[in-house]
Amino acid sequence: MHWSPQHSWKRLPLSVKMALAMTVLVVIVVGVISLLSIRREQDTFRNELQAQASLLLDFTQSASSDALYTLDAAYLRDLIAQTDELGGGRDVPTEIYDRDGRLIADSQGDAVYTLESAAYSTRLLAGNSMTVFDWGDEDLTAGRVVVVGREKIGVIKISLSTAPLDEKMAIVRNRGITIAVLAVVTGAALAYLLSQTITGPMRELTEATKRLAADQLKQDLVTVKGDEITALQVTFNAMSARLTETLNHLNQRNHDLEIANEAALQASRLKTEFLATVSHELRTPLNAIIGFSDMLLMGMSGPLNEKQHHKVGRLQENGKRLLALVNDILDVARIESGRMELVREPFSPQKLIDQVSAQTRVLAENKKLEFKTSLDAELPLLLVGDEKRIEQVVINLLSNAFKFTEQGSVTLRIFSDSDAQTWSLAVTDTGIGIPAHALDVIFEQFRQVDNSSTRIYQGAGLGLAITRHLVQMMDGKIKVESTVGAGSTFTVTLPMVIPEPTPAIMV
Amino acid sequence: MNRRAWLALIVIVVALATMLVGCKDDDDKKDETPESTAVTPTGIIAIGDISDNPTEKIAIYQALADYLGSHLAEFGIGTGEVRIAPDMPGMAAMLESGQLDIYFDSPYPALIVSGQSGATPILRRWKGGVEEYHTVFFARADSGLESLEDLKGQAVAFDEPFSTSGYMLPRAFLIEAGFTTTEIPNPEAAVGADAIGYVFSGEDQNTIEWVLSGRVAAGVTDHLSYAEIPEETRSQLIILVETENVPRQLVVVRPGLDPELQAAIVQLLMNLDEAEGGAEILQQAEETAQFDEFPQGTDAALARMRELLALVEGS
Repeated sequence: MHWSPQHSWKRLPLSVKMALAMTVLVVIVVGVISLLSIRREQDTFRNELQAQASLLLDFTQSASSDALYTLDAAYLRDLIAQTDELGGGRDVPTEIYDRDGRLIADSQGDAVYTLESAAYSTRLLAGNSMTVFDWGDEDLTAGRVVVVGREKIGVIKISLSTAPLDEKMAIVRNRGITIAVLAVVTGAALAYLLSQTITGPMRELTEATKRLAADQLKQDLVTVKGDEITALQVTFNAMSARLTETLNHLNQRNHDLEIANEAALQASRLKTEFLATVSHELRTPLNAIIGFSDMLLMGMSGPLNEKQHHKVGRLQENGKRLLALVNDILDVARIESGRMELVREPFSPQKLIDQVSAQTRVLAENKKLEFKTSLDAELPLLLVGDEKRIEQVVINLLSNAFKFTEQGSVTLRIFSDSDAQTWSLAVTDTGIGIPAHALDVIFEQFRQVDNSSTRIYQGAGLGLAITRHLVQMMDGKIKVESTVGAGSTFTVTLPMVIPEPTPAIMV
Repeated sequence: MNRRAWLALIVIVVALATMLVGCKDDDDKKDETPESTAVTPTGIIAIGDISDNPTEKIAIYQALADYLGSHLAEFGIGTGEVRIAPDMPGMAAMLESGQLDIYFDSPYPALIVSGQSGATPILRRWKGGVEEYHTVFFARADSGLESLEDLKGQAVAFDEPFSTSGYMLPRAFLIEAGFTTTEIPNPEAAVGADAIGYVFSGEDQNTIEWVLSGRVAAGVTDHLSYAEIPEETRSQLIILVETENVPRQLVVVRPGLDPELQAAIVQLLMNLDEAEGGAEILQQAEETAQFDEFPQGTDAALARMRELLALVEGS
């Protein structure tokens, strides 16, 4: 299992996080304070040691100036022995150099007798500082250039061991560590207790929230304190009460809506059933009217004069129109009641064009319109779909095109879009067009562009509504592009389903 | 006078009488002491030195004084003491007055004190394990000096005015060699072209440092101190000349000392290195190896040293 600090941190309880965070803060603060304290103590001790070194240098300088001037080496050696005693029982290595930087006395007490200048004294004699402190790992070396008048007559060098300083620092450091550990432990304990006072109510709040989530909306947390947590609890209680009230209200509304919805559905069902029943009942006499008018027009009941022929013809025409309307209403009723079922089977797009051309050619001829068709060569020979419903869609669109076109042409195109796995059929006319504001409503039932057009152009406005329903049932889309006075194009896009090759077809 | 006054007077008189009787008893006891200490000698043998650090010197010589004090009972001596004089006149006075019986010092001050007090050098002391020593004239090798002749017009560092190797020997040597010597107050002081200037550094250590630092052209020190200079530094020095040897130290006895007691002291000192505990006593006394007689005889040895003294004092 993958482990990450971030993950582990997130999974820790809030109280532990707070305690840890505060402990880390305490550790940092105590650590910084301890370090600063140790640093300050170290500086103090170092200053003390430097002050002690300065004091020894002052004493030695004061006592050695004359001897350095006269080069009284014997006296200087005795002096160094005394300086050693001034060190408080510890060794104070001391060296005295003459004006040339030669070592002439040191703590060994023996005569040095050298002709060579020492590097240390040469450096000090060449420099501008009268007193120089050099901190080493184990000692502090302090050097003083002894000047008489304007003449540098020698150098005094003493070394003080930093062992006492180290011992003091060890004591301070150990004390600091002890205090830091105590502070951290105490801080951690206090941090944990403090976090408990915060997370305790938080836990209660969490539990109450869980109960709330489990539909126990009525929560009443006990609040006894006056801090932010209490404010949160009070707010939570108010929220719980408000939620309860709101939910009760919603439940009541839902109940009302369910009743209303049920009533509406019932009404819809009744309407649909009514429409289906009425339509069905209307079709029988309409078919009889159309059939008998056919027989009359065919002269099966004797020849008709021109006037009779005209009137029977009008009778038949209106009977057919009424039958079409009833069929449309019946379709709408089927669609809304969900009783319309699609039949998916292979069909030929070419055959589809031929069939709709045959059915609508008379419309073009009546209005002397040019009717053009085209079939995309890339389209498969066979597609799967409900041919009758597709044909109904195409007939509806072509009927509208011929209906609203007085001159020009109507074009039917079927083409494929293999990339999108769809195929489309588009009906384009050069008719009156549709205003932009009407494009959104023309697919609604009983809607044409305006009421006046209903009177000018025959039809109940159900065709496009049925068309859209059918297209949607076939998982397709329909759109319209139109320019008033120039014409419209309705495009239906359907999923391209190619039939499985059958042995017969393969043969 | 009432009765109470009489009583008080009687008490006082009785008390005074008692006190007087007590004092007489003490005097009687003192008078009786010689009789009772006939077998416990109370005489003192005192040895001494010249020093401005008497505490240190007493610690050095006390064991030797105790040894002598405990071995001279036949002369009524039971105690050995160490007495320090601040200078040569003080030492001469102590010897002359009988406060001090034996005195140790190097030849030059010993002869001066002897001359002033009538004391007599009787033995040679091997102080520091050395029976005799001499003076070395030295200079920095890069100074260009090659002989004493080159020191004319130059400053030479001596030790102290009462030093044997740091004054008497080198100055007597220069005088005997025909050089004119003149004391100068400091190393930088001018020196006549025909003379050799000498300046007292106060210590052999200072003399060596002065030469090393170039503060003086040359310096003199005893050959023992010169040998203490590290070889590395010594190789950069040149010895111009070395003087004759003189005894390291003399043992001087006060004038009027009982000859038998003096003989006894001589025997004790000369045999001390072989006596039980003697080596430790000698070691404590400034690492003295032994006491012995002058190889060339006391008179001969003293005669040459007095010649050197005369050269210095007569110049």
